[in-house]
Amino acid sequence: MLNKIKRKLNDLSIYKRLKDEEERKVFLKELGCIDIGIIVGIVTYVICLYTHFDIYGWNFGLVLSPLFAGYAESLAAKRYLEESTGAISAFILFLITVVYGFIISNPTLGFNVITAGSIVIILQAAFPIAVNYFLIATVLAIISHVTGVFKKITHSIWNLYEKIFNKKTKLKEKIEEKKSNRVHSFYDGKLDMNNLGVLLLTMEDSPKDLNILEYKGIYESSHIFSFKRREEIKSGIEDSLEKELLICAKNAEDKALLKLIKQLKADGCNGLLNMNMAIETLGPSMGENISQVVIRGTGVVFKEKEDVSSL
Amino acid sequence: MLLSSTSTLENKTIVKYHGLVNGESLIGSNIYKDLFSGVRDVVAGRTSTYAEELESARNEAFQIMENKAKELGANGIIGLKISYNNLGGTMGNTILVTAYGTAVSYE
Repeated sequence: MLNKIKRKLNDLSIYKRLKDEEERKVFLKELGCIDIGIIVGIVTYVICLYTHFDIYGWNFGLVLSPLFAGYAESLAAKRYLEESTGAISAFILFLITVVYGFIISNPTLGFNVITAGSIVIILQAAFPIAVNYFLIATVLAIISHVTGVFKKITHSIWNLYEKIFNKKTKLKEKIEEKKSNRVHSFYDGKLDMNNLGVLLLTMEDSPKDLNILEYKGIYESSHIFSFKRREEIKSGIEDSLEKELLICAKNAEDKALLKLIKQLKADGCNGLLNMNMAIETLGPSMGENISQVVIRGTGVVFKEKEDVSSL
Repeated sequence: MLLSSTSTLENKTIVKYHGLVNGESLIGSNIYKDLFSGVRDVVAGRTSTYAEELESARNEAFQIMENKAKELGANGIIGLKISYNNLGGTMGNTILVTAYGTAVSYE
């Protein structure tokens, strides 16, 4: 067991460094630099406390002391070691000032905007890379995701770049392209509704040349479709969602029509006269806009059942 | 391609009814565009942007419908109907333009 501990200690880099004389000297110099930083930081904090260098009870020493400590340590390290020690004293000063300023000196300190702001500033001084990353990357990413503002900015910068450097793209063509992008269309050539055994006619009057044997009455079918309002808001920025909405509406039309054709076929109809199609918005509900496609017409039986389309 | 909203074609003989053809297009909701349009209304300007876009959407729907009719071998569309539906909720307008009719072959 003891041998195991010894072996582990030997593997530690500090232990190895202390064994070697040259390395030991460098290590002591590093410790010296950190000490200088700590001393400068403590002196700064004491001066700030003594001179009451504060605003609304919040002392600037909380920020200045870690900064000065780190700066002093870096200067010393550059002079005696010609390399950085990582501003360890700034972190130590952060701990010292927080413990003294928030716990020992002011145990009744409440949580308010000033306290929260000071914690952020102190953290920023102690862990600049981590806090800056959070502020720049995370916070900005949330703003960008919610508002889409950065996407618009980069898009306009890219457009400007294209306009300046790509001489082939004329401004007029760009405007035309932008205009055409506002209108979306969807073409589905695969689905053939006219090949399902029911002739669908939109005319109000029944054609004289079609021999109608029987009127089966009025037929109606509907299909409800919905889309989220959030997507609708976004669609001002992102056009692809509008295409999705169009496909959604088109699919609803097809489904309603299929339902109607099934009803007609079940009743022995082979034609539909005065076919009408309406899309009605039923209003928003639970964050979604609900619409329905309604198709109605008069079901009929044509004489020629085999091929109603050819007269 | 002959487009007609009537049930028959005068002085023409319909030789074949191909059935239903339809076309859809959508004018996207753009909150910034809507805001701009609102401002123009206040200052008594014409909201020509909307008119242009509606025309563009209608033409697009017609084009899709005509293409479908052509694929069926038709040379005319009768009983043509067109509707404009606002699918938008509280934020902006999303207008769906639907055109449909009966594809026919006439002589």
